[in-house]
Amino acid sequence: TFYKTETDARLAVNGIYETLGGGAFNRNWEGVYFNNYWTAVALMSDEGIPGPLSYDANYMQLANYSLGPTNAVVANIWSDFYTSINAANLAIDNIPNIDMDTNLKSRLIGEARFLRGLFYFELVRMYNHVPLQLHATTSFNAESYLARTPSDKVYEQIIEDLTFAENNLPEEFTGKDKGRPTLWSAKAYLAKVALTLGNWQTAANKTEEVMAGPFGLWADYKEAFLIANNNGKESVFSINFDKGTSLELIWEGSHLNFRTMAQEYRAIPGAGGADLEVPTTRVYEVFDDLDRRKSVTFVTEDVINGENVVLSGPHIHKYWDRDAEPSGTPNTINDLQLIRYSDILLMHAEALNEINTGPTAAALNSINQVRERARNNAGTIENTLPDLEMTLSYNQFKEAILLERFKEFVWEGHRWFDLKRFNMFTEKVNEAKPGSAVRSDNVYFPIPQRERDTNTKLTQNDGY
Amino acid sequence: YSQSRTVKGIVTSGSTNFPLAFANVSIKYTPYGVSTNFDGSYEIRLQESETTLIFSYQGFKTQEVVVTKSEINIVLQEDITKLDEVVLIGYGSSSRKDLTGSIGSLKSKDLDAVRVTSVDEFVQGRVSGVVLTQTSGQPGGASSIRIRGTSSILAGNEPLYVIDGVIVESSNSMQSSGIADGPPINAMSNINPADIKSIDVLKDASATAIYGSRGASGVIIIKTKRGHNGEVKVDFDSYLGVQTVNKKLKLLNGAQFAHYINEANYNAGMPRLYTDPTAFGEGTDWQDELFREAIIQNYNFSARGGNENVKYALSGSYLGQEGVVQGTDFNRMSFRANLDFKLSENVSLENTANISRINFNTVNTEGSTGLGRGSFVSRTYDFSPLLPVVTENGDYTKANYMVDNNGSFVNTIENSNFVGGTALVNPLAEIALNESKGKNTRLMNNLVLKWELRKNLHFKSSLGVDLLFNDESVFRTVQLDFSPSRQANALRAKQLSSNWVNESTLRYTNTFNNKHNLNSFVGFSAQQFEVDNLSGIALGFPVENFGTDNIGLGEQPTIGSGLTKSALLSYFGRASYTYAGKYIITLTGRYDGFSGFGENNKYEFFPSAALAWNISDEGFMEDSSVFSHLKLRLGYGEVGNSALGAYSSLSRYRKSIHYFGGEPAPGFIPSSAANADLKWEVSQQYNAGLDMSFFDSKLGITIDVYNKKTEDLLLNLPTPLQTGYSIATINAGNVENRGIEASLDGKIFTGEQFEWSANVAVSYNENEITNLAGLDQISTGAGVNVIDGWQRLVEGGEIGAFFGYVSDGIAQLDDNISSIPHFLTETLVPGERKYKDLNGDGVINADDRTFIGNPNPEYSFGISNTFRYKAFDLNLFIQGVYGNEIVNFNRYNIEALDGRSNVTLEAFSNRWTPNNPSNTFTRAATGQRVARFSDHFVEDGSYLRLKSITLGYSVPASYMTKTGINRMRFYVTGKNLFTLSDYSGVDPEVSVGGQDNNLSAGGDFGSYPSTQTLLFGLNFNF
Repeated sequence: TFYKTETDARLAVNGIYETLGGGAFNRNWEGVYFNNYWTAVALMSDEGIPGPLSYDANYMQLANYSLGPTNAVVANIWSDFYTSINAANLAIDNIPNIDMDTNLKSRLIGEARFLRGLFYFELVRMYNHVPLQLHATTSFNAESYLARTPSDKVYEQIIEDLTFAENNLPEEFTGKDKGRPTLWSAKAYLAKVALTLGNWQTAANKTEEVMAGPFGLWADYKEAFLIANNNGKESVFSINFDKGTSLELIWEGSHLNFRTMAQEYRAIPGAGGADLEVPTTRVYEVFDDLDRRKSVTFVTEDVINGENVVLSGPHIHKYWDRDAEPSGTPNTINDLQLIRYSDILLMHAEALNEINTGPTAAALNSINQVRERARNNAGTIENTLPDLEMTLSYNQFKEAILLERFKEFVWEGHRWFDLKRFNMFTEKVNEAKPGSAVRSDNVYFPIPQRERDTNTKLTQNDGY
Repeated sequence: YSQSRTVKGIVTSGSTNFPLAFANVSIKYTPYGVSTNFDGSYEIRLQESETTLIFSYQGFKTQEVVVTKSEINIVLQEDITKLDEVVLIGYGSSSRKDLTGSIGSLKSKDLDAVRVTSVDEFVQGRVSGVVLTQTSGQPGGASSIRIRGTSSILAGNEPLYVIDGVIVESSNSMQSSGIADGPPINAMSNINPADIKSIDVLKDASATAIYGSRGASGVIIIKTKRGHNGEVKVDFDSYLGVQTVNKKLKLLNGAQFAHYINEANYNAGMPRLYTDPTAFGEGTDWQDELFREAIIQNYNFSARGGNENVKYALSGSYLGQEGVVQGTDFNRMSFRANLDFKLSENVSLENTANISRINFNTVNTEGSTGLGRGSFVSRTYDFSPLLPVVTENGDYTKANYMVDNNGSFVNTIENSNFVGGTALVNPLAEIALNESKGKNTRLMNNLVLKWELRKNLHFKSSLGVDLLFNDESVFRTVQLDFSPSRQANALRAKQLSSNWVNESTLRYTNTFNNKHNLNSFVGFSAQQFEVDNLSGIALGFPVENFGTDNIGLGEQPTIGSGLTKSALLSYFGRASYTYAGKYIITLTGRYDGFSGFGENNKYEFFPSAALAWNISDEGFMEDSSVFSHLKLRLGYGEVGNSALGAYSSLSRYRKSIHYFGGEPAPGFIPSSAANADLKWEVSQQYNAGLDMSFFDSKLGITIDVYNKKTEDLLLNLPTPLQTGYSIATINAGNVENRGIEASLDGKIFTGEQFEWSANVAVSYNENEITNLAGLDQISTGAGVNVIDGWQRLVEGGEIGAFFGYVSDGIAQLDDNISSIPHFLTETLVPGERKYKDLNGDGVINADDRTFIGNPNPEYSFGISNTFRYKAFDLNLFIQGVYGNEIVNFNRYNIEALDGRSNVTLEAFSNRWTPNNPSNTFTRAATGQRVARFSDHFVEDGSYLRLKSITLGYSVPASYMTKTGINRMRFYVTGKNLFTLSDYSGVDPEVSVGGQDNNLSAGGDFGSYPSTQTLLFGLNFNF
């Protein structure tokens, strides 16, 4: 009785988005971008470690690389993405049969395929080869037990889905639909996929297409994280959050602030301050003091209830829009921007450097836009981060791009993947976490034991 | 014309002293006789040649008296041999002699000797083949019953309950809207045990097939007491008792704990916290704080009587039971009115009504974690003895804080997180400041019309209802809210579960030529179930004074409601043919349709056939001096299992919400996939039984052998998450239960002064998964204390078998550490646990797991002894199981030695240190270890327990002739006074997961402990 009308089609596609973030607190269902995604990517890399109040061994194991197949975070991310994929598959399977407006129909299928492409891209980056489930599960039988599909095949499907989305999604959404993926979002992910696969020319082409679109950098780095600028000109694709109605039932807000805020903020009524994860010393110290991004990203001391308080160490601060949410609510309505425009610029530079085995003018132009913005300290232009020049070698420029990405995207869910792509994973982690048990195998998560117990066709990743 | 004379007198019953109406008084060697009147009186004329009167009454020993005077009063003695016993067989009754199936019976005389608070407790150890596990010691708490093993993996192993002809709701989850803490209240706890007249347990398929799709796990038929034609009988019974917790764990006291924390910190490279551990002294014993001596009291009053046309049985009872855990109690009021009316010569009406009201307060004693709300019981084990229950300024200590050298709290609610070890909330603070309570009202009524159409043809139609109102509320104060929002919250839910049933039968019975006896009927039944609920949740209370009474005061109220409906439609019949009382054949069939099944498989037919041969009635056995009775029974039947959610076969969706730029975009997301092929789980059962009695029926032995093959198992299959679902209800595979059960009844002494009778029930069951529908394995074992997937089903294995690592002692200083296989993701150091590398690949990983135990007892037994010496009576009941294992999940915390929770004295005394190279317990080191499920936590679960002992004294009748009291008896009962078991936990009779625990059977984690009880009682009747 479902999937008969246009309304059903809309409801089915809207349903996919709930699985991204927020969710029912007492169902232990949170949605992957609610916190697990960006927390895991930070802890697995050189930008995050457990905070003073960390209690959950599952997160500690990510940070010190003792994670095994029974790690609950690894299991939840897997579970959340496949729940989302099934919701997308249902829409993709059923909407074509609904008699409805054809433009809306292709747009809705485009949204579902964009999301499915995104989910598989995340999965393949985290778990390497993964089972490729392309239809909704209608009943269980022997065919429900899929083996892992080689990652190159998974990537083929991701590209197909994103290309469909690119061809069927509109340039922009307005009003109540603002925040849904656009064709630009699809192009951006096509670029990121291409970059991950080393298809440098495609990456260059797709980033250039997005650069021709309606995007730009906010003048001040801080503006990129203001709630007023959610779905703004710098956001190419974001996970939209909002407060929801009842804390006990739904957390539609995100944990972006809550997990990372210093415990000292609990003195403010209603504030979060779980102090569960903090940045590494390395990521804090890599910044030039005058770099605007340093003061926006971190806080080390603050005036709390009229008193100056020195925190136990640097804490992530950039998602806390203090004017919009003065008390630092535990579940912020601030969005998690998965691709900001500065990412497009830096990907563009990276692709061109690979194609030309060295910087080009266009590549320098892209990266220098990001550096220039970082010099803008709330209107004052600081004397730091000079424009990069053509004199850089291929390797120097590559290093510079990685460093720029490090500073630009602290705790935005990129770093672990960036280190893999640049082949610098163990090297950089050892610099930030000397003596840690990091192994090259940690570029991927283990396949969750529950899955291997349930489905004997699943092999384990190396090293677990 | 001969001289005649008149003889008159009164006939009374020897056991009750009541007059016997309609007793036969006949003249020997003549066809003449009379019946006694209502008052037991008779008058009869005898001719001169007639010298002897015969007094007889069904169920009593016949007496012959030579007439020597004109008034003869006779006391008839009851004559109940096992063969004449009436056994309820489902839509009818049978004498044991004519029985073809395997049925265990308990009569009120068996039941009166013991005091239970819930009806299901009666069967534990008293009926062979039945294993009852008290899964929670909470007053009114749940139990789990398995008749002939676990034959289904889905929640459908509980027997069907039929009370006074009505199939009632026996699922505990229907008793609760799921709001209150702790396990749900036992569904059978609504029934007053004192009202029960008999309990018959139908075990084999030939007996249960008449219940078709619901017969696979056995059927328990309960009959309550009814009125009689004769003088009113008034009964009063009361007991008062005290309950104490069975066993306390020996944990560290304050000084020992401080010493332990110092060492654990030091070993983890952290500073020692306490300069003088001994200064902390004894500290707080949290177990003493939580547990108490709890009072239990029960009053029961009944009156039964009537005349030829109206019979009544009225009763009222009150049970007040405190729990041994503070903050828990259970009160039940119940009323019964059983009325029988004779409307005309051939039409009668019977009405059975029961109303009960339960009020309960609960605390969380289920093992779940999250929000610091784990079991209060396990929290008392974990809590630091350095913390006071109440601080000096009168506030409750809020959570399991660390204390510094001066005894001050290191943590506060402000710097503790809302989940995990540090913020385990003080259970006593929760008891004092929070609330979790419920009220259940249950109304059961059944009206039966009986119409004798012709002499051999009876029509019967009934309309029954079972209504269960549940109202639960939970209030949590802001003072103990560790969640990021810091808000008080209140939850309230009401649920009405209703069950309507209409049944009609047409019965034909006749005897031809004195040899051929036919007893047959056909029937029709329609039953409808409905669960209707309404709930409200609110957060943030500016004032907390009104608790859940005014939930609208909350700042963010949310409401919800739901309705679930299902229906069952059935046609059934049975024909039983007996030839010369020797050969009996019974054929049964039931055609059931259930709305919950898939489109393609809604209906199923369940047949059975059984044969019985009363061998001792054969000519060649007549002179046997050994057997008083010998009977062989053979039966085969197919029965089903339909314990399935109403909508299991459909794909279901739930509402979702997402916001784009602050605007809601409502949607739907799938919550389960459809299964149009979902079908009946059918079990094929073979049974062979032998009933024997010896020595003039003083010794009776019944032996049954059975094989129960269940096909198309209904299974909540954990599915690969890549399908989008974590679980699916499917039919997969077969399981076989094979077993032997024997019961022995003996009247060892039957003297005037001294009597001794004994009953022994023993059963053996083995369980084997014979087919898994093509799957290599199914990983089960619901999450307990961060461990999941601890059970595994494989072909050839047993349901619930434990699957995990094999521990291999502790790594020692002189071990070559680098050569010891270990987990790649961890660094092994001396003092940590080693595991066996079962596949020899040099590393420990999931491939090194194997089967390390199973929760199913091989043997279960019960021994009941009843003695009477003059006015004293003594009943001893011993019960036990053998051959099962328990996973003691509590030990993950209390032996963790990880510097967080308190530990057992044993683990700490024997911990590994460089000077004490223990091979059992690890070193103490602050930090978290990855919890592994290994055989280290698996223990022998066998036990032998003195379940109850009752000593009674009946005041001799001669003392009471003037009081009007017929009988007065004082008694004292002890329950669980003695247990023999190697299990290190509090109680071997335990299981997480309550009634529906098939996928977590045999786990012990923070369950409500069982209790020792001492009762003093008084019983008298007029």
